[in-house]
Amino acid sequence: MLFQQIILHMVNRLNEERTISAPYHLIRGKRSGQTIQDVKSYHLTKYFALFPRLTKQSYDQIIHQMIESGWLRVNELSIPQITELGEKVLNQMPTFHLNGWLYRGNERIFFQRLSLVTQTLSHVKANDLAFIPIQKDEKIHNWVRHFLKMVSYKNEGFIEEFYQELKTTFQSAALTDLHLTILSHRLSGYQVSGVTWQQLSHMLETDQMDLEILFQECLHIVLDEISLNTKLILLPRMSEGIKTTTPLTESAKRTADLYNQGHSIEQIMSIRQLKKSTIEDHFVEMAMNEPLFSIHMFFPCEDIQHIIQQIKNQQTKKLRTLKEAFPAYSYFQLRLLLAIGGDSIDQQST
Amino acid sequence: MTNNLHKILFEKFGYSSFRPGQLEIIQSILQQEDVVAILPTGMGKSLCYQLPGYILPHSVVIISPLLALMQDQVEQLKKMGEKRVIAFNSFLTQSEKQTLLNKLEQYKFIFLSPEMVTQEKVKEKLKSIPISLIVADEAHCISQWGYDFRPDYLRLGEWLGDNMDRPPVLALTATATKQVMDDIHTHLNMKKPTQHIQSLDRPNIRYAAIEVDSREGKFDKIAKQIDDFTGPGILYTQSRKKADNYAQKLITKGIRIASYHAGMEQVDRMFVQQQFLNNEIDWVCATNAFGMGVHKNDVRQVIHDHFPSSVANYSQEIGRAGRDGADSLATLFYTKDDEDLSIFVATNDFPDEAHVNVFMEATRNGIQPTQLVSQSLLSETHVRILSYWLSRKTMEETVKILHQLRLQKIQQIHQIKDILLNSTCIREKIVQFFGQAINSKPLNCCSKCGMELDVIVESSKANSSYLTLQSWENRLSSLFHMID
Repeated sequence: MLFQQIILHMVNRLNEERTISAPYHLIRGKRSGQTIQDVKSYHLTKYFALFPRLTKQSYDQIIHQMIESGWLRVNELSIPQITELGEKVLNQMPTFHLNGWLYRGNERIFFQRLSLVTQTLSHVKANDLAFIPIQKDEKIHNWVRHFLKMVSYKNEGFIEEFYQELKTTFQSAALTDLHLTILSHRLSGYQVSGVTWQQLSHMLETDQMDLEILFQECLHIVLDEISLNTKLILLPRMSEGIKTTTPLTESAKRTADLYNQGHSIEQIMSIRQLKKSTIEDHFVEMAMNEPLFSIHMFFPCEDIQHIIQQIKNQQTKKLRTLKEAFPAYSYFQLRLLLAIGGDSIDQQST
Repeated sequence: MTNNLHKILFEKFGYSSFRPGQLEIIQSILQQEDVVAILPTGMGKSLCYQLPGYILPHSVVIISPLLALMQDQVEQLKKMGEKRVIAFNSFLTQSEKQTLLNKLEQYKFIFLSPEMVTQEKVKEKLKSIPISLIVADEAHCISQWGYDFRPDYLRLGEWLGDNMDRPPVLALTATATKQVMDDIHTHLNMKKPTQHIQSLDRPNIRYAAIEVDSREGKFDKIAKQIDDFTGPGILYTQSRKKADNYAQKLITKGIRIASYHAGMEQVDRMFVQQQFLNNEIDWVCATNAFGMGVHKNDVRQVIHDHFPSSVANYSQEIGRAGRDGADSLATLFYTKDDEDLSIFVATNDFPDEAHVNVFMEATRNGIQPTQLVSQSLLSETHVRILSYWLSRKTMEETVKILHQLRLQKIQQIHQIKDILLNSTCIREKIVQFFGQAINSKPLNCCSKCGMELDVIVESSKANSSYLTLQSWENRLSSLFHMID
């Protein structure tokens, strides 16, 4: 149900200006110009990369069920619209402490570290180091090995300290018992097996997808808590590099660096061997995310604030409509204007 | 020397005695002989090169054609605390390969896929470092008479052939047919190899093939058997969906069971393994994705609800029972039309000429195969198989090979069906298939020879409770063994 409500929320925000694929790409955390722009323009930062593994097939199936239930309609142009019944369902949605745009899927890396550190310490405490690591990724293995060495995990009292930090963090008021039941049973250790999603779903009588949403929310809250609580020593180290420091995607960051070194769009295209449209996507991303980025070079002798106001008056973010109203501007220019004119980050919005 | 070997066996591996054949094989290896070793699956093949690794001065190179098997062996060695182990396969990036290659001689156990051995850089490096032993795992893959022919494996022979004063070679397999044995000798360029042949029969495993009228009837029979007789056990089924469904239905009947298949998150799969090993569940309901890496010795039952894709896969799967030597039961329930279903499952996702054309057409137009997948024109399996063959063979040859492989898949299902449905002894037939004859049959041998189930497996015990959730505080303190 939570998942369906989130879809309804997105559909509602997208204001009949995007197709039914837009929420799918956003939930998967697709790093394309269009999706990134959607995240910002429609204030959907929370849900970015909520389900990176979601298949098109299961998504379509859920949408189909939602149509059957009469919560939304999808017209012949594939544009979804929320129904009255859908709005009622949406109104029941709880407020999520999700922050997908800030963590961008990296919260999973944090969890991988946490689960392998927990498993290792649990075996250290039991004096039995013969175990198969729960995480298969070599990069995580190396990270955990390095981390444990650095914090001298063999020292007397280390495990106790680590345990106390986890306990303190878990006592955050923003975390519910359900959050913590899920998280703690997704960890495993010496003679303590983990519990699968299916099993959790069965025992908690809650849909598996909803549990996964709560799990993600729980990780976001835990990570926020870790960065706020100055008394913690070990957990902040475990969350190093998890929070995105640049709001740009990696590729856009490289374009931005080249641009800041004084290269033109054409030069960047040839250096990076990328299409013009891709580089333009990057500039739109920069316009959206970098407060100091100026779009004046694309509008040599015009009053940008004035044009932005005119665009706002149209009360749409749909490019095709805007292009009809302002034929003199290219699509690229219109996207830049939208990016600048769009409200700033919507972390608190629901 | 034997004393020393027993000492290492205990100290490094924690066993107090060798399984049949192991000691003789290890002694031959230590005497620098080439060895062909035939052992039944799951009966300690890897120990035959792992233990000598701790005596021989230099690296042991293991050629392993199955990626999952390779990963499992690496994990097992690491679990024992061995750090000098490396898997060199196509999953590594170019730069990772280079880094590892530079320090290859630092590793004691070097696992390679057959295609890696043929790469120039790898070949050169292998020539320049001291090697004590070369192991060809699953050596039957080198033979086109084997049930699992891997053309890449032939190049291993080329590599060994070039190398005049090469270290001894150990070929390991669970197939003993004459053709396969001959191919192993010639293609691996073995020098008067010593043969160590163990009986491929596993006398403590008893076979039952039981016909049922309908699909629904089948589930009821399975449920009854699981209810009546003890686990731990594995219930093999054909699809992910069925695995989930069965498990769900059996849970409501009070069976401690979990499903396992490749559609689940990797961590979830590990959790099921943990639960099975910790005896928190008695049964796993799985697709054929389950097995590799599950080292549980006291599996008492393996049940199939279908004909597996080949005799080899069947004996792999039932071979997971009774590794502790105690009596175990392998039961297969079938209906009359199950054969067609198995053939459908085996060939459904296998490419044919039409798929070859789609693939070639796309390649000519510069379209990425992944795009074809996202447009649902080809499946991921199609792309994997077609990329493999079309990069090695012409279009016409590929079409021909695919056709042969398809026929082979169908034939392999006929073979397993014939063995299970025949009126003669199942044990005898299986052992014959792998090129041996059996000396004696145990009492209650199989459903053809006649058997009483309750002699072989105990009736199920009163169920202890299924998984329960703890409060997070309790869970956390049990993870870190804290007493609050």
